[in-house]
Amino acid sequence: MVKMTKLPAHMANQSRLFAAALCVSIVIGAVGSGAAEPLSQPAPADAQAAFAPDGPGFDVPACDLPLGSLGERHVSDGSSVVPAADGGASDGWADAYAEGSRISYVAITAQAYPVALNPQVQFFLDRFTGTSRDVVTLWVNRSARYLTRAREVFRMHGLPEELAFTAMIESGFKPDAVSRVGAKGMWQFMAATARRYGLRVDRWVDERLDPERSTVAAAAYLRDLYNLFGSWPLAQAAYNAGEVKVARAISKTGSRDFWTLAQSRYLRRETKEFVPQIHAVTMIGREPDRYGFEFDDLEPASAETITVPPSTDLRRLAGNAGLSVATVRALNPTLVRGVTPPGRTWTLRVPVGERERVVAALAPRRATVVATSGRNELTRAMASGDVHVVRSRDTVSGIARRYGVSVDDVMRWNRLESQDRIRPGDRLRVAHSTTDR
Amino acid sequence: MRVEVRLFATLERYLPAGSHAGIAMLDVPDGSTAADVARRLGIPAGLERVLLINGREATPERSLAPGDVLDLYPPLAGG
Repeated sequence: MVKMTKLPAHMANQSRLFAAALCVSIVIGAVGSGAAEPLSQPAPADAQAAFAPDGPGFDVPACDLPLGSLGERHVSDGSSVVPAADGGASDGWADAYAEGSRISYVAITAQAYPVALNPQVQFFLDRFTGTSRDVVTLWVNRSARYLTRAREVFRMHGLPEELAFTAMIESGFKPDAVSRVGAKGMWQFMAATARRYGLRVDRWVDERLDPERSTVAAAAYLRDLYNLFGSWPLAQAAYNAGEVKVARAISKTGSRDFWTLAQSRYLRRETKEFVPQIHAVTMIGREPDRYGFEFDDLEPASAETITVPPSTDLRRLAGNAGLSVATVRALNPTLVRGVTPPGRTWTLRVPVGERERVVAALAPRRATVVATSGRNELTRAMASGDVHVVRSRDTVSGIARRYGVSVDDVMRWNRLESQDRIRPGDRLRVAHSTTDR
Repeated sequence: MRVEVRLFATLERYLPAGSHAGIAMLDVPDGSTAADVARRLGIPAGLERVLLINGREATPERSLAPGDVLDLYPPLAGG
């Protein structure tokens, strides 16, 4: 579903950051927790008709619907490439960028998000309020915890807050959505793009799964794409297909208007449908009553934070603190292995009111347990070869075999439980000791 | 030889005076590369991010032929 954008060869040398797959994509089918929530519906025969509308209806470029507080300015998503600067002032972004500086702010003045009222949008509006109502209801319900905050994030970036609805089509606001090509999170970032926008993605931590951080990254990415293409439909198309793909379509068609590109064969159907789907869901978001939807606004799950040592195992910690593992993991979705990263402390989120219990649970750690038998004892044991320092790829069974003892013994001597992991650097007692009974 | 150059977004400011809609027709020496044209327009080296020649991705070292269409986009700022 997601087409990776292949970068020009010369860019690969220029910057690791740019050697990124630039694709973040809508996920079709693969994301939902069940078949009941496909994110894009297979188009029936009339879908094609909807995309090949005849004549003037299709040429209506964009039509501003009532925008409420956002609607002070009319911004058409036509062919202008540089965002209009109020009062003809010079484009600060251009100036800053011309200096080659990496900047983290952009003064985009286009606060409005114009929704096109054209046959494609109408097609999805009909579908979302008709045959796909259940799916959209699910998205809307799921958005309750995130939408308000996401709108805030966009507003704080100086962007139209209705861009938040992009996540509705990306993932149905599912923060742990995973596509089959590896796009992850509510905003369906590919790893390389996520890193370019400041998200940590490695074997321990995946911030694409953090609703807030990934929204901030998505806002920055959409801001950049707007600056590149000059309209939100094109920016969103590039968010879906990658900017090279959109640049190529612009070049081939000679048009800088998304709706014109959408009639060409240079964008894939997924991308052609992505933008009208967002517009349709934005219309629903503007007037939920009119379309029979109800948007709730729930507080994000609240949490307290606590600094924990490196390599803290959430399962073990939750067990010791008498908390549900699922709860602790849900509060820390970015810890993909259920263990905090090695090497440095980590700020862990724990349920409100449970901080003290977690602090208490942190005290008896396994390393300490081994050490309680006495430093001298441990030193003596090490000298006598009774302690094994775990190296990478070691397993308990391998260690037991190596020292000619049973796995059960190793487990017992080291007070390990079956779900415990051993990690490089751990010291395991591998022989019977006088202090062990 | 004459080539068509289309600059996008923040690169538009590098178009010669009198250009319209981000497009300029430029007379450049035969055998000029895309990078030569960018330099001629005063675009700092490496500032272009997506480079297309006749609608296909290309490297800056690619030589242009008369009538070629060169599209240049700036890089993304990143996070």
